[in-house]
Amino acid sequence: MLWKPLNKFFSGINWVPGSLQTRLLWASIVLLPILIIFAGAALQNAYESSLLASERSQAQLQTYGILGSADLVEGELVLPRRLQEPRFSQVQSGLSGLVFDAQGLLRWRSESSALLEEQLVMQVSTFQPEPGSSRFQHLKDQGFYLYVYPLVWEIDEKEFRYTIAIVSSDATAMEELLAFQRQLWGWLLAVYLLALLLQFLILRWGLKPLDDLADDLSMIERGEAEKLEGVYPYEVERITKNLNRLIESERSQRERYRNTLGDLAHSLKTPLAVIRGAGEEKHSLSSYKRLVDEQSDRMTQIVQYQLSRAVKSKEQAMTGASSLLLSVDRIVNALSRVYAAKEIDVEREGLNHFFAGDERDLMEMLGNLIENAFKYCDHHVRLSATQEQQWLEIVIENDGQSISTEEHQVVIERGARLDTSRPGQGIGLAVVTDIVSSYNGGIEISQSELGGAQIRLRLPAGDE
Amino acid sequence: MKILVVEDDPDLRRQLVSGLSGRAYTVEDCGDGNEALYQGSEFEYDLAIVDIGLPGMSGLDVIRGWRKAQRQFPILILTARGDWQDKVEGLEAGADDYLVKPFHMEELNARVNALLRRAAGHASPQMTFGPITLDTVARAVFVNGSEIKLTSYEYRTLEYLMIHAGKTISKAELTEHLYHQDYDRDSNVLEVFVRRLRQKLDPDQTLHPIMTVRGLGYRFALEASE
Repeated sequence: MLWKPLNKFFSGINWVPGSLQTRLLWASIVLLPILIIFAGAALQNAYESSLLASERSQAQLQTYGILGSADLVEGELVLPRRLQEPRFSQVQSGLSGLVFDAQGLLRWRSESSALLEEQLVMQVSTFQPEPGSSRFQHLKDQGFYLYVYPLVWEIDEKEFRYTIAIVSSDATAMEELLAFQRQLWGWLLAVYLLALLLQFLILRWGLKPLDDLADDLSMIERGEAEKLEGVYPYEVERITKNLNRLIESERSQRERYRNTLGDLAHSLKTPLAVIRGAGEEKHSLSSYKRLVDEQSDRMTQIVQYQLSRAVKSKEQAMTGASSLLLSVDRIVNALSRVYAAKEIDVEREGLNHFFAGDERDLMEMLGNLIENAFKYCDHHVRLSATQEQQWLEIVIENDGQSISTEEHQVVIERGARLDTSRPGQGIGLAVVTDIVSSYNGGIEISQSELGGAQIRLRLPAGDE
Repeated sequence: MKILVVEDDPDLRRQLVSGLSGRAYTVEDCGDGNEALYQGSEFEYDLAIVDIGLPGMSGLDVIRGWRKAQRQFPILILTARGDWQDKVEGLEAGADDYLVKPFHMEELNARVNALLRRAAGHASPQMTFGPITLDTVARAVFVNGSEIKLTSYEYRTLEYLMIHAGKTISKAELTEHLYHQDYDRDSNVLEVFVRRLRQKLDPDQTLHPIMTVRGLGYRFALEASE
């Protein structure tokens, strides 16, 4: 629309200042005059037409004055030398009356018309409007208003036609108009300046919350405040609320990282101690190698576990809904490349649901579980989901070897400390369990009708 | 079989190169994404191992670049971050398998072996052609059940021919896939290897496993048996 070229125009000019206030003021400084010029022109026009209308009605009145004094004597129009209107008798009064007959011959002229140019009189004599329609004209070049009134006199069924012309100087009217214009534009200029001043004040007042916000933010930056505490207007409050939430989640994230880092450092110390201790004992090279191998495996698992815990987001309020279908598709497509040789038949059912949580978390859970299914299946993996009110249930099954009930327990034992687990044990399921419980969800392992393991995840459902 | 290793850490790169060379693969390496993109797009490889976190150009972009250049060799990615977003992105970029660091060399060897076999269309790690069996995991060759001692280059030559059994392989292709780029292509060392292979596999000259296709190259001529 109009905005695009306008924006383009303004963005191309680098003197447009960055401040919101200055921008708006600049816009007013440039755009208000246009408005004011239009308004002024309209007012001036209206005044001019009212001036014209009043001149016309005055001229009309003069016509009636002449008519009142006229008489018809034997078919001849007779007018007294002096009329009631004194200006007709004064040479410089600026008001003259002329009467022409049907042939355009001058039959009467007021004494005041002595100074009228003959050319003008000749010109007026050619105006012969239809009976009943008068004519009013502003002859700007000559500086006159001209009113022409056609007159038909009927006596003894005989028609006598005359034309009465009133010529009046426009000098006074023009002076008035000029004075009006001067006043008008003077006032409009004053309005313009006042409007700018008012706008400046309004802007100062209106944008003050933003200044406050900036001040509050720099207080947080300097560490003098923990969050935005001021009272803000509704529009800004939405920003500050979100900012506060962001600051809060950022802080808890930082805290979690710190904790993770602490946990990590702490749990790595044990295997490091074992290795160092072994160096001081008398080991054969092969047993030392095995020990280092074991401990480095253990450290790898610890690092992996803690990393995935740190990545996982606990702020559910900030995250939207993640599409289950999309994540499953990505993972299955990716894994199909890896397990291409196995020719796995993946059955998908009712996956078009949403998970109320972070997409990374969903990928992490599904990735681990679906990969296990791919790894342990013979040829068949089934993925299905159902939604019941607030809960989403995802079932992942395969047709591989079944796992025993004791193994179910070990596998889903909550909060199992991984640095105490045996080396070589996968941490995938522990990570899944951890994420699931952070969403207050549930995980259940059982025997699938396909033959292998069936994993049932219960997670909060989201709307799209 | 010629493998390109792209890894920026010099220690790990050295370990990878020596580990793979020890298993009779021809290995070329580079530590920089842009160079890797050039190498992989310009030369023939049977497999590439790519670290995702490369300086200059990310491993993912390197893989995308190769695939865009219609390079079809299998790619194994190495990633330090084990999260699924990463793995899936890598596989979506065109990789065929992934391995999370740190890993055991045996694990890497198993994945490499599986990828190479899969690319050649063989499901089993053992390939049997009449009396001759090639074990790609043990990197060994058996005739009538007894192992035949081969040098590394003899093994490489035989493996390439057997994996592409039934197809005529030109000397240029063999050279391309078995030797480093700076290898002198005019030498007749290939003919020497083939002659020695024939002697070792078929001392009585009854099987004729490797056929010379005049003017074109060599072909492994035995039929596969289940």
